Amino acid sequence: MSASRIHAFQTCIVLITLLFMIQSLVFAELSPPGDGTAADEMLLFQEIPSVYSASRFEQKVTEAPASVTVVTRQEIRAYGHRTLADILQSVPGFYATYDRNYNYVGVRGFGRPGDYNSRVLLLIDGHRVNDQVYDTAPIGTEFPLDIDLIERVEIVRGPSSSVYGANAFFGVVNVITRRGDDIKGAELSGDAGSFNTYKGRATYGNRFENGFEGVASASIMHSAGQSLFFKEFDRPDTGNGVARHCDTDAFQNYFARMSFKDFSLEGAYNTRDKRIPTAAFDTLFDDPAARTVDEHGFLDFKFQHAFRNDLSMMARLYYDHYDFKQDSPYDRDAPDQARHRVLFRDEARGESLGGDVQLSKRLFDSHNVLVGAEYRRNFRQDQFSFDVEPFFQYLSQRVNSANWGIYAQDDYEILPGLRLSAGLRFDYYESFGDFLNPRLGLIYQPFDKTVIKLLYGSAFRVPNAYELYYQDGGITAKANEALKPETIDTYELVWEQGFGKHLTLHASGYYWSMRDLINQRVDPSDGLLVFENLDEATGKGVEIGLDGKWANGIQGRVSYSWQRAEDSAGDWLTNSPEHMAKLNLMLPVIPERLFAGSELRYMSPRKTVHDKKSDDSYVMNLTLSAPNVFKGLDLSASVYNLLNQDYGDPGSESNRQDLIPQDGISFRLKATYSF
Amino acid sequence: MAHSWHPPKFVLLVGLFAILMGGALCIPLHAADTEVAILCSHRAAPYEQTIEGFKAYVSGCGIRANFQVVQLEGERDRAEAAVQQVKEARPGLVLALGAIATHQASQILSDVPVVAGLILTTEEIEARKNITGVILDFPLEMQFQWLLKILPKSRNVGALYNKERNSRRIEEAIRVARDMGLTLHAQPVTSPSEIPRALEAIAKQVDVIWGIPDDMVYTPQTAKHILLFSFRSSIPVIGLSDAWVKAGALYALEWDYRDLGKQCGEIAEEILKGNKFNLPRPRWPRTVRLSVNKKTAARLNVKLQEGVLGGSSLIHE
Repeated sequence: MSASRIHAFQTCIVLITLLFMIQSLVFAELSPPGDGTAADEMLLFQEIPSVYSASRFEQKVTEAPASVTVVTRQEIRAYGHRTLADILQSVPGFYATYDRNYNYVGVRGFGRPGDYNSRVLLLIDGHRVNDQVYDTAPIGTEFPLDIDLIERVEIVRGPSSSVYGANAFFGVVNVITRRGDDIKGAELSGDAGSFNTYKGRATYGNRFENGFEGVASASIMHSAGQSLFFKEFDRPDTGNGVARHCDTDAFQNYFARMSFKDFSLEGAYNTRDKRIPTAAFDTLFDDPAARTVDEHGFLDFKFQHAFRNDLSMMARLYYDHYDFKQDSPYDRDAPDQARHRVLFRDEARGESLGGDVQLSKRLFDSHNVLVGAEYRRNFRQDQFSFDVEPFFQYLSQRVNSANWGIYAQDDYEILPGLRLSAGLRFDYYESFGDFLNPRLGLIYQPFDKTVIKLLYGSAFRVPNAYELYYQDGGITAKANEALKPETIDTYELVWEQGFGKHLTLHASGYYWSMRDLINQRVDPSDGLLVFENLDEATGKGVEIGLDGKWANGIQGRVSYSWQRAEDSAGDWLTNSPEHMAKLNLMLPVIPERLFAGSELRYMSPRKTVHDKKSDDSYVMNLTLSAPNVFKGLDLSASVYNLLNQDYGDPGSESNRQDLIPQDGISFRLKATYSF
Repeated sequence: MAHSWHPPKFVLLVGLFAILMGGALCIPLHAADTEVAILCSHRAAPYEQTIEGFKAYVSGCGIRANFQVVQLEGERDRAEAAVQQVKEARPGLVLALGAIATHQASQILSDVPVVAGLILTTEEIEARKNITGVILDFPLEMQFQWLLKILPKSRNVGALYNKERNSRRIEEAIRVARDMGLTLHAQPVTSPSEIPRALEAIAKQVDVIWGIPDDMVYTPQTAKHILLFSFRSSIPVIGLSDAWVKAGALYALEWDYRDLGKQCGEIAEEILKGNKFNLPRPRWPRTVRLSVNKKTAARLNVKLQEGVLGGSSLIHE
């Protein structure tokens, strides 16, 4: 069968599946929704959803000064998500790329290859997770929390530096963990999947009579990975392009949280070891020694109290730890002119202590005022690079830094149905001076099911230690200490419209303009990678999504995003799909017994760093889950990339590959026992 | 390009998993001594927890039961046909959860013992000899005792109600409140548009507003208005349930739905092991969980007494 016929066949399957799914949604909407009068007892059970992340205090999604998506634990289970990257790429406007070492998130057309997720702020229960050296938001298997411990993920689009400070550039992702009261006992979970992937988890959580609540959990995962073929290395001296035993991935996660009265203590630790099959940074191909080891950990002690007179206070103290090691095997010229295999190692260590105080109060009935202050001392942001044997050091950089910020926000109900949200934050960085970032939101609710939001916000990101100081002695990269911070302004119009009892439309149009974009490129004068400030980049786009939820258990979301991001010369940015369409659908196959969750993601071609284009891609996943099949035993079976789509994500300047191949069809079986 | 997947171990696992899943799905096909049909009015967590508690108790008390759950999805039209089908299957006992299920069961099932749960009143089942159950409410005495425990200085209690639906409840409440040293100021309304006026009318007389299950007064559309009124006039609202407390009511007496299911299971045991034609009287829930909103308490200057919040309390802060 020719490639074009295979493509046509796959397209037909996708279209048929789409038609089936859309038909399901339409019929579900047309089916009688009941008699219109809620049964009496439902008066007691109805929920009013709220979101915390957008303004740092709890409020309804519709009143948040941002476009917000909440992904619940039920959705995570139903769609068989394995990582935070899986969750994010199921959300309208977001996409994820994988270079077979780390996952990177792209949002609103911006997902530069070679960036390390430094333009999205990642939080766990409000605690910042981005590290001190690379500012990376870990969203793959290096994420410090087991995905099964997530209660919900709140995804806030647009800049939020007016409340959160640096890195809240394109969005904030706040992961809310499950509480002891949600678990009520012990859970044992095990799963097995393609590529000899095995994972196990043991969790205990409870709330006790005296009010003490606790969760403790440990997870372990190992994946043998795949043998991968890269045409760029298809030569006899590089094993004809096949990298064997170079895709192994393994992690251990530990998480604990305890709370009593107004106090809580939370900690997480993750260590991950990943081999790199792509020979990035010109390392030896098909050498299993090429790998990275990441460690993330934090401790967060929090006091939260509601005083009299509607005054609430939150204060926290925290400690963050980050450790990174990358081994890169090279073939080098030795003084005797012979070539030797040398193991080059990069190391980075980060440690921070910080504190955060926040007060909120309702004033004059119509104002919700929030003020806060934050201080952070990065007392370790060290980087080293050296040859292991014979030892030779290229970089030994020990730096530290500090920053602080104060902020205020007022949510003012001007008239019933009309709110103004205004926020301002002042930040001071020892190395870069001060920053002032405002956010304004006008939120108008003319009818019960109609909300219109007009939003403006700015954000900043200071260059991280890696971008400023990293060099490896002229092997592949050099430092640029003259880098300037980058800033962004975003304008957005959001329309949320409910239709009947079951459907909600979300539509938004946005424009962002970024100055002094920090970008990695190869300096043509010496062939070395270096970070530089580009003049400007701009993006504009439209996101439309329709959410549906019916009483018979069917729920889903269909979304389309158009986005155009370009640099100051008007050139399309790399790894920026112009069109994305997503369809998520959950439905009961056998009521009470068996549920199906399916997602379909379409992405249009993306420009690569070598000025080529990737193919468009259709990825479909399917999960069947059977809850409580036998006294607390839940089973699920998932198939990922069901259509076995052959596609790749754009590589970065450090890759010889223009496109990094992604996984074909793969499987996972999972069992969870609660007792 | 990536080789996708190597079979031997995986095929074994798939086979094992298929056997487990198939086996689990087939378990109910085995013969059991008693067929128990569960009619569920809506698909929501309280119903699921009640069913869990019920199944766990009945299975654990030595009754070999085969449970068949029928979801009515909140649709009255569909419920009638579904309950007719259940009748034809001739179950040994029916658990009806919610108003829709209980109404249809009372209309169609006359010769099968029915245990009703998650119902707000006994009106529907009082006249039926084959129906009993556990009411989703608490005795008025208990409700006012909790009110005095949390707001000990309160003497005047306000209540809005739909005259056509809740006159009996209000008359009874006025009497019980009087016996406990409270005065109930009840304000009838005939449409939701009258709520602002009714609230203003009682604002100067009452220390607290007592919420009752009334589908004209307490709806998602009216909730915001009532709760904002509560904040503006510093008059606490006693919510209908935890969901209302989360939204801004001061407190509510909430149920332990698993225990409610267990209580229904105990009644089922009595029926199945005893006389099917002399059913016990409907019962009150035996477990109460206090749900409190600390933010609301702080805003309204309500000091919660030491010892009020027990370990099983639901606290929103």
